[in-house]
Amino acid sequence: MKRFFYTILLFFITLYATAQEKFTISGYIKDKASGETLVGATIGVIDSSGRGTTTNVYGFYSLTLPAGTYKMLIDYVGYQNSAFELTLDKDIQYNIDLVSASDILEEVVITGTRTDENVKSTQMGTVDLPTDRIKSIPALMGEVDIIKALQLLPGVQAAGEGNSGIYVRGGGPDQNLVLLDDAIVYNTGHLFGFFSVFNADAVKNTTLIKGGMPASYGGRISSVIDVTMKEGNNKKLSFEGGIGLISSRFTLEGPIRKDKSSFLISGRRTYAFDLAQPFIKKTDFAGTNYNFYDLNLKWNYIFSRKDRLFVSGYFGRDVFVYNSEKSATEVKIPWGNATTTVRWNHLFNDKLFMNTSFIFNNYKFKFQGTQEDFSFEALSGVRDFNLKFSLDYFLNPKNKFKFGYDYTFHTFTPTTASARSGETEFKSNQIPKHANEMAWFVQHEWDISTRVRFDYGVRVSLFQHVGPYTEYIGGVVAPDTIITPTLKPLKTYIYPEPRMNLRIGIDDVSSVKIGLSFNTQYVHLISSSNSTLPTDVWVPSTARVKPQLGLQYAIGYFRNFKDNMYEASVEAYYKEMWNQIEYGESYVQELNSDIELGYVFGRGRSYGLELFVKKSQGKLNGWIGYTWSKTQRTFPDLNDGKTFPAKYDRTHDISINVAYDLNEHWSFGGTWVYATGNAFTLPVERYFIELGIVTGYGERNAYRLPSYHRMDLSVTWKPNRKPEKRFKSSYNFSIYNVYNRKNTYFIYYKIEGDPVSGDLNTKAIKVSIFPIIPSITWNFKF
Amino acid sequence: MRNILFLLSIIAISILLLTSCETEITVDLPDPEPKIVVEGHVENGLPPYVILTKNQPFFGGLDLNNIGDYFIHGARIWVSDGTDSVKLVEYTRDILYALPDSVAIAIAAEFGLDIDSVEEFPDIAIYSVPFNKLFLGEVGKTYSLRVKVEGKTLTASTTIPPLVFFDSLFVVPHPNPDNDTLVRLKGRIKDPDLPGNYYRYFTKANSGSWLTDFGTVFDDAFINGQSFDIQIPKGTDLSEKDDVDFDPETYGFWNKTDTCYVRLASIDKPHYDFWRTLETERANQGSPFGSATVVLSNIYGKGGIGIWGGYGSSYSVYVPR
Repeated sequence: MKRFFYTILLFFITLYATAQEKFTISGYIKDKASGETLVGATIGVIDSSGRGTTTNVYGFYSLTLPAGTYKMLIDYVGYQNSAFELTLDKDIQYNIDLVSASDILEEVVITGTRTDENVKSTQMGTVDLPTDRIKSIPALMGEVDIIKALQLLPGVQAAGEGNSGIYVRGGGPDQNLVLLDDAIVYNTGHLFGFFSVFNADAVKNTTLIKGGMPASYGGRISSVIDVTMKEGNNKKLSFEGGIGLISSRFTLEGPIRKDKSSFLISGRRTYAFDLAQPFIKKTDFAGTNYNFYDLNLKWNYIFSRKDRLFVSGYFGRDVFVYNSEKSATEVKIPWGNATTTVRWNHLFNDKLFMNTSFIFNNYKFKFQGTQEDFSFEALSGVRDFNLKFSLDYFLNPKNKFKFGYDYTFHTFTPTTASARSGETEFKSNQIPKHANEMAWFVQHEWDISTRVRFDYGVRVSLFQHVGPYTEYIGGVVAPDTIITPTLKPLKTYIYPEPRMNLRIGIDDVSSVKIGLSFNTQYVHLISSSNSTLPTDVWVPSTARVKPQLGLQYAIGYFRNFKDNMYEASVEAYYKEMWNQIEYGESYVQELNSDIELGYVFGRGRSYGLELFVKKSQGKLNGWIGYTWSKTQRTFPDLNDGKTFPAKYDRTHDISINVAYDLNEHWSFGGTWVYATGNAFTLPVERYFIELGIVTGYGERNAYRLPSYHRMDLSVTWKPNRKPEKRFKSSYNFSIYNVYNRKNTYFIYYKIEGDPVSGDLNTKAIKVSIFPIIPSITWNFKF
Repeated sequence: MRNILFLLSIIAISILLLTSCETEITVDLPDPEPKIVVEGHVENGLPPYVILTKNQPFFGGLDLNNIGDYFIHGARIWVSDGTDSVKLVEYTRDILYALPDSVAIAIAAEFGLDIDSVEEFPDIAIYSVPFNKLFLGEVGKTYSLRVKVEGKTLTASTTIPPLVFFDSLFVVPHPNPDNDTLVRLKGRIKDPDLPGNYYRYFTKANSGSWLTDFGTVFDDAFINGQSFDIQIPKGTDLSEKDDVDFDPETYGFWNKTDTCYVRLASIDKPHYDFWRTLETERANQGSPFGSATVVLSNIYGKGGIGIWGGYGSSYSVYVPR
């Protein structure tokens, strides 16, 4: 390892020696009105050299150029472009403010992304979605949902009707690295996945990386969903909120010391079932309720130009309470995530940017039930302490480096149960598992020439299942235990993970990109059902459960048309996955046996083609995405060892998203999605045991549900307002499933008639859950 | 309590049903590969018996009046306890012809059949020990089964584990005072010290038939070596699955005046796994969150499924005062 770093150091020195007299311009790019830093904004020289850079996830940029005078252009989606002239004869620190298009009312602003970012960057399969764009997409019950917005992109599929789980390029929901301000979010859904845990009002930006993951990310084999929270307006106090059919939101943000320190508090809570309470009260089920809430907090302090401190937190809970007086039953099920991030950004000099984050996160699921004198409690969850350290080194416009180290201490609590019946107490012998996860990474973004750019890196990851742990061996015959003391490793895995992306420019408007990435995943969430449920338990890699490995190759052709008015791309990918996990065919959930004993292991493979056309400028904008793909699995213990389609397999997937801004009062949005029906296993036979009917199943996932399609529309109306008033409001009307398509949520089998009278028959019934659903939301801001 | 997921899915379904809509769809399937379904048991103090039936397409009609069509005749079956072995003989309805109608009707009722005369009795086949041979199940022994039928050879093996007895049976009143005619039956049991005990229970009220329920097996993973009380819900006639009443107010409760019979059978692990997966499969039917559970058969040989299970049964009774 040491030798490797020396080599790199030597490389720097060589580069220095060949350099002419150069200076650096660096700083933050921010929103003018709120002081919020902008992620992924581009700054470049207006000439043919293509010299330029983008802000990192903390909004910082650094560009080193030979002395001279330059015309610079700054660009960011949804913001007015800004240009200025720069005479570079010394190092300059310069913060740039951009004006948001939504803050300009007088005229319709033509907004757009960096004209040719699509073609010029090496990034493949990467999409940045600013929250403002997401808000123009029609939403189920008016709940703006950033995860559901991602589902409209090619290569990304919804886990099910109305579900906020996503499958990326044939990967499972647990194979996505979901980050909220650097903290891993282990459970992304509320209400059984119908809504995601991200309150759009508190979110600044969402980045999805579905292929060619940079070395700074790891631990999952499918994708990265990196969500950054707003920092809080450091110019003025503002309050915004919304009242919808099922929930309300509010966000308060403002400066503590202007331009120095700011805060943000954002909350959301559902009340649909609270409203039903008066009706429930009169029934036997008085006290039964369901709600969820989210709370996002952020505080930041700018100590100096060189040091910034951020503290952010997220806390969310779903609470279900079931009461039945008649059967003397009381059940309470709370679950949810809590995350805390403390982040310190430090500038050693204009070229060297440091980020250090301490992160704590905790996902917990609890079940408490009592019936008469019998009581039962079950608990499961995962808790992490995490340190992240990284350095961005902006050597010159052609070379950018990033180094870093991640460390996480995990504690996984399997479903530990205890019960009491009268005076007798029972306890399951399930004990938590602990693990160390570490990674070292280095990556180099290298502009070899104006046409060729090469980004490459390596991540070395290590995972250890460590004590304290008690292993039960010998089974029934000779029960025995092996006790491992605290922090002593039981099993260690190390993998180098190479990553690379290459761009070859063909001309000014088109390029070819090639990507390769190898990823490991040491924590797993295996679901026996079609969607993820709060009861699904995260488990670490152990001696029995090996790390999941994924190797992805991708190639793409990118081209812009009509002076960058239209962006288009074709990407093909091929992915091999090892040590994939499923439940055994006869698995039955049992509280007292280690869940990993129910797993079986095998291989996966996915390949596909993605077409994407996007228009991001003008009154009418939007995109069309189409994906053709195939995802298969081969497990010795499933389907008699024969290859079968994974439940994530979708042959065709089409998404169309359109937004139209008519004028300052009216804007419209529409989406249409189509997907091949889910693969599922059909019962094919039945037989009698004790004169009761038993069902036997056919080949695994050999059958398809009817195809899924749906159209949603929305209209946003901003009433007239006096320009001097700060109060702004808008009404959003949306219709989910406009043509009332009865999409299949699940199928069940109904046995009708009486076997004795001889007219018994079995029918397959499909259940659709969301018919046409209109909704209205009132949003305000002052 | 064993399955939180199941409860949660009920909750989720009830939420979903507020907006849901159902439509029938048609499924075109080829007929399944024909299989021999074995249902055989050996119990302490009783002769072993085996029933062989055929599997049927899932989406097909079913008429219990023709239940005889599902039975398989003419099989050759051997049972061995390691030292002694016996070839089973086939008993068909022919032997009922020798009996008075009233007895035949009573036997039919035991199978859940409502008939008026022996002629209506279906053409079933039960394989058991010949009349002239004494071969009874014994605790601690291992029994192997060999079936030759329709060109297939199927084998299986099971044991009769030691008996475990209820220390006592007792009743507690219904929690709702309005239901003072109903009681809950409980039994106190002392689990043996070594882990790895598996149980199945059956219940009978008064002079009725022995009945099972939706969850009839349990193991001692939770309660190894302890003395504890379990609830014993009154059994349900599973052949009338459609009519089962899930009213939590009455489900599983006994009448105050019932004489409650409980049969507690010790079973071995494969036997337990069979019932455990079978009952899970039944419970998952119709749940959107459930998955297809493959029932774990302990029958070996191509084209054979089912169970060959030993029971170490102890019997207890609660008589109301």
